[in-house]
Amino acid sequence: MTINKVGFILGIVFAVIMLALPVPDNSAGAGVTTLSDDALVSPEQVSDLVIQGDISCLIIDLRSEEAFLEDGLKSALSIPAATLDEATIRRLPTRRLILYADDTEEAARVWAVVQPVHGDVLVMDGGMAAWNSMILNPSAPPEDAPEQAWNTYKERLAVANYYTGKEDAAPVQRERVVRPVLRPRLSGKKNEGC
Amino acid sequence: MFPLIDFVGFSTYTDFVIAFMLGIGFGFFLEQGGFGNANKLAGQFYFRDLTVFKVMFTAIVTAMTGLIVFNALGWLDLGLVYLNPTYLWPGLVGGLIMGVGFVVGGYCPGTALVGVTTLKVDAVMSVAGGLIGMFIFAELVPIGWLEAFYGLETEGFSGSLSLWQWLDVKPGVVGFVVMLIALAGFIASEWAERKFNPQGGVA
Repeated sequence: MTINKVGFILGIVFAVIMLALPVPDNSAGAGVTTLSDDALVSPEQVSDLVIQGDISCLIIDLRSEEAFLEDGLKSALSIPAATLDEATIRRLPTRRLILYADDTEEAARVWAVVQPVHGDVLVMDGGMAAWNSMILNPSAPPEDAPEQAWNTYKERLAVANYYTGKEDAAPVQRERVVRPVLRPRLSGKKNEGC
Repeated sequence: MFPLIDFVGFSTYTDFVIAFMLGIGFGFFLEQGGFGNANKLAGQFYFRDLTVFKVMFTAIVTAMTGLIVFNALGWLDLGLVYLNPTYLWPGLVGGLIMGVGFVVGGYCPGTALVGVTTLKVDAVMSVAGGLIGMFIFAELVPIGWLEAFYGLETEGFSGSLSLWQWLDVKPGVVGFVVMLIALAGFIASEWAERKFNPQGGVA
């Protein structure tokens, strides 16, 4: 049997093995840019950072300037995706970046470009759509919900009022602030968190 | 367990040292395989010597098989492997320019550098041409339509995209099909070499 034939048979064997392999969790899905959970940060976590005035992260609004002026997050910086080139990315501070757009997919497309250059970038899960539904317009629990659910709702309502200015009351501070998950760093920069 | 860079926690500079050593090894074996010879490289365009096609496709299916199998067994987290973002139309234009340069110059960028190590004049000219082309491109990019074509808002920009995500199938299905294409390609290339270069010498 010649080497060519052995190689051909090995190729067929490996092809069949690959076909029979199970689907791993981290490669499922049909999105154009799949972000791992470590690269996502929830709107609630972002809200905590904004309320606390935490400046260890830089929040960036990737939508148009008009959209940012209309309903952009407090303390966010407006850099429309169309204007974000490599030179701009390199001028950004080395602290952690949190990107958001109208939805996750849109921000994930930009994340794929910014992350390799900057090295410490997260995306707000769900984008402005999730921000509007979870933070600005929290839904009330059913009437027969346990007291804990109502307390959580009141807490969220206070946060919503903080952003919408419906009431002057300061938002209820949570006892434990949930921090964004630290993403394993690929660069040698210091590993400061938010 | 893999990628080792994340698993072990190498620094950026260690990454560079590892990349440098891998590059030296890659270049050494390319040179030893005769890939520093423009005649051998250009032979594939005349179907006389398809070594480049066979070696490169073998490298692709070997790496692909390893990635898919390791990922399925949980030894490798593909989510941590960096994929170059896809810019479809700029990629096609760049591929066309690179292909024309390969036919005319006889070298692709990597093999041109391999040829330089043995002081081949045509390889030196290819590398110089590539560097001049990069300089001209960098100077031209600020032109509005060119910047827009290569920017994030270009129509073909799809982020980090893999074939199985695009086709919405299991990674193994893509691996199976690509492997069959490779095997068919190897058979066809052997046939072409026998037909167009029956003596078997360097084209």
